[in-house]
Amino acid sequence: MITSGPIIELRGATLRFSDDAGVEELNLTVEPGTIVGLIGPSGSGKTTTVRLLTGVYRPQAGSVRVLGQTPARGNRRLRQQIGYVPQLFTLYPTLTVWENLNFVASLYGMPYLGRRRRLKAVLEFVELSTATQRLGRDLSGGMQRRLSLACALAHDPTLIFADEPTAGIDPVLRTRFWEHFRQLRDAGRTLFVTTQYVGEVANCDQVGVMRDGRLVIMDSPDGLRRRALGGEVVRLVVEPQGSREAAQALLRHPAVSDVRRARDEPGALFVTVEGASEALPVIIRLLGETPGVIVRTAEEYQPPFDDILVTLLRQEEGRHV
Amino acid sequence: MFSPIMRALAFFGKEINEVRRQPRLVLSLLLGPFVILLLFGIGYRGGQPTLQAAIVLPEGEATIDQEYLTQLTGANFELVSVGADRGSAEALLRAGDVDVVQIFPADIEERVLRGEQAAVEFMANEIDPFTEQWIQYLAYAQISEINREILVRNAGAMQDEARAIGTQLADVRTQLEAFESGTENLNQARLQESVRSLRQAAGALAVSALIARGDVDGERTREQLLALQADLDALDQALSAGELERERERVSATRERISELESTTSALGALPPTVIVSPLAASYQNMVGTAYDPMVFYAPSVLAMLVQHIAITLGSLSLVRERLLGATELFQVAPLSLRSVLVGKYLGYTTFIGIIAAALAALMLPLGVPFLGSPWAVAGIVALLTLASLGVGFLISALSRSESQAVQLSMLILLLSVFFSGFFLPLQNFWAPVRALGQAIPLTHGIDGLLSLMLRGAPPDGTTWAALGAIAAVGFLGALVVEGRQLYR
Repeated sequence: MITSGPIIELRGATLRFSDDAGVEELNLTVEPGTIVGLIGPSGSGKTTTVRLLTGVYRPQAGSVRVLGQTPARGNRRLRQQIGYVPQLFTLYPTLTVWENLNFVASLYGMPYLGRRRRLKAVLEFVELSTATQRLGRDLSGGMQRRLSLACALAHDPTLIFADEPTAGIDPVLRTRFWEHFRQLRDAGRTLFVTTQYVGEVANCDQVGVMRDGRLVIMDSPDGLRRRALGGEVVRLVVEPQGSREAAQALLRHPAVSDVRRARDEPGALFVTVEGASEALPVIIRLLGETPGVIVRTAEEYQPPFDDILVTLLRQEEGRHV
Repeated sequence: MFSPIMRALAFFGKEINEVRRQPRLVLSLLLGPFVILLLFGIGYRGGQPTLQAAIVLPEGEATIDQEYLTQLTGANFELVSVGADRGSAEALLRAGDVDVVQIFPADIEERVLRGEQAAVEFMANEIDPFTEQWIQYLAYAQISEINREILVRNAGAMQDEARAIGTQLADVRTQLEAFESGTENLNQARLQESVRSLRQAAGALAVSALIARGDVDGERTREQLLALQADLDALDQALSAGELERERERVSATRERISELESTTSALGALPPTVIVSPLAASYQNMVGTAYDPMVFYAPSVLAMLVQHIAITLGSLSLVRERLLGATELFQVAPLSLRSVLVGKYLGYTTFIGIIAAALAALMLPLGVPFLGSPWAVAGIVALLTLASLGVGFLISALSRSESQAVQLSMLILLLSVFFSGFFLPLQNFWAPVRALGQAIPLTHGIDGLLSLMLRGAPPDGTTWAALGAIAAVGFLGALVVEGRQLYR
């Protein structure tokens, strides 16, 4: 069920713990049917934010609205629409995969009739169909995370909170997890995911960057790139002897805002433009007309999000200083 | 509508599955107490402890027969040595070779004759209050037995005197009868001698303790003897004055009194000395036949103890484990009340403990442990004891921050239960406020109920049910409040 208007709304939500940890003045709006990623250094307040949104914590100031209700006082109907993948494996090591899943389904009041079919489908979705009788303690880390996800999906929630669901698992499995998340989003679900792998934010529709308990940036992945780099970047490789001429020609063009030469790769240039796809034919034509410049390759450059995050956080720090 | 039931049943199933996946735990919970009970039954010898004793009996002390003393001491103590040297005996005591030294005084008879009690010293080197109580009791019993034996001997000697007086009485009576009938010449000198001799003996008998202890009317006999003395005095004077003829009436009265006293002295002589010394003997009857042997007697308490211990341990680890595992966070997000969590856990654990208790009870049957009362009532007490103990366990769990803290508190409750539940030490022996503490322990009422039901076949009184119910309710509400505060901050 998708509600009209924001599915999540935080207005100045504040929760401070005695050791100065917590979150401060959080403002956030999430539209239904999207994947929202929350990134930030360890201890920046990601888990606290999720706990505020799931009703585990109550804010000391401000308001938290999820599916139109205050989660800490939310009724049964609200809770039945929420799926939660906690940061740690919270399921039982001495129960089998099936028993764990069945237990969580019962907690959500899933009727016995039709439950079996639904649980089988969920297990198939997270690729655990062949491990139903394995005990929780015998599962690998990745399987435990998938079981956690299955438990969160068992009752077919509208809104799914996943707190670092890909922590500690291999890159292949992480990719699969995001495939699952995208499928859920495409099926109309809303996902709120925290991650410590900055590169994963590329899978999100909206990304929040947290620092010291504050949500410092909220934007799309492309928007983050633009913020960090001042636009989009085209990577050019020209013959090294003509790289100076190429840079000078590019800097004179009005569509180009910045040109940088790579120190460790002679002839490589990073050109910042407003829109890479529009600027690319213009740049190639310009350099083709510039004497002494021979272009070898030209492509849109997408720097790793780790670099983008570091840049953004530095910019943010500089702004506060 | 059925969701709360479904949620409670989810915990029921989860707890049962979790426990059954730990067969070693189940086996140790079941066989552990059974083996302990069995070892107790095989090994416990009960009764008084075997205490080793040394006797110091000064040389030449003849009041107490050494052979008799050795035999008597051997009944209560294991006699290690008998000697005259006090120093050696005390050395044995200091070295721990004996538990008690008995020192008899050298001048028992002289002291008694001086009207003093002759004290027998009992020396011990004991730190165990219970052993000390045994030594004091056995010392008292031994001295009482020695005193009794002395009295029996004295009573026998007094009976000999009474029998001798009987002969004298018969002699005087025969002479008086001859005087009255006038059939033969009376030897007045012999009669006077006999009268004087009887007078003296009657005086001694009148003050003898024997007449107060025999199967006779002591007061009347004493009156008769005093009257006889007066009669004999009068006859003695008449004989001296040669005026016996004038005292015919007194002669007749004296003869009648002598006849009556003869039957009394005859009765005194016929009584066994032990009856004279100990006229009362204890006769014991147990309405249930005989008391149970210690193993059987402790079986209901062991069953109650097991039920309480498992319930408190499971309960105390339960919530804290969910919290440490992180599952509590899942419960907080899910449409689930803490009440459903607790009710489900109560259901699961009560079922599991019920199975364990039934299995243990079945194992007890071949050991001769009876189940005389209604099986439903036994099941009811076990169920209520389980609920009360689970309540205490959940409260501990809600208060604990770690598993080790929960285990520590559970062990503390176990220790409290051993001392203050009446398991070994009767509650009546405690100071009233401490007895109140005992009443707050589920085991106290579990033991009361199961002892009554299993060994007497009688239903426990209302207070047992009420107390268990009250502890169960307080535990449940306490856990609900304390855990609720932590969950919903």
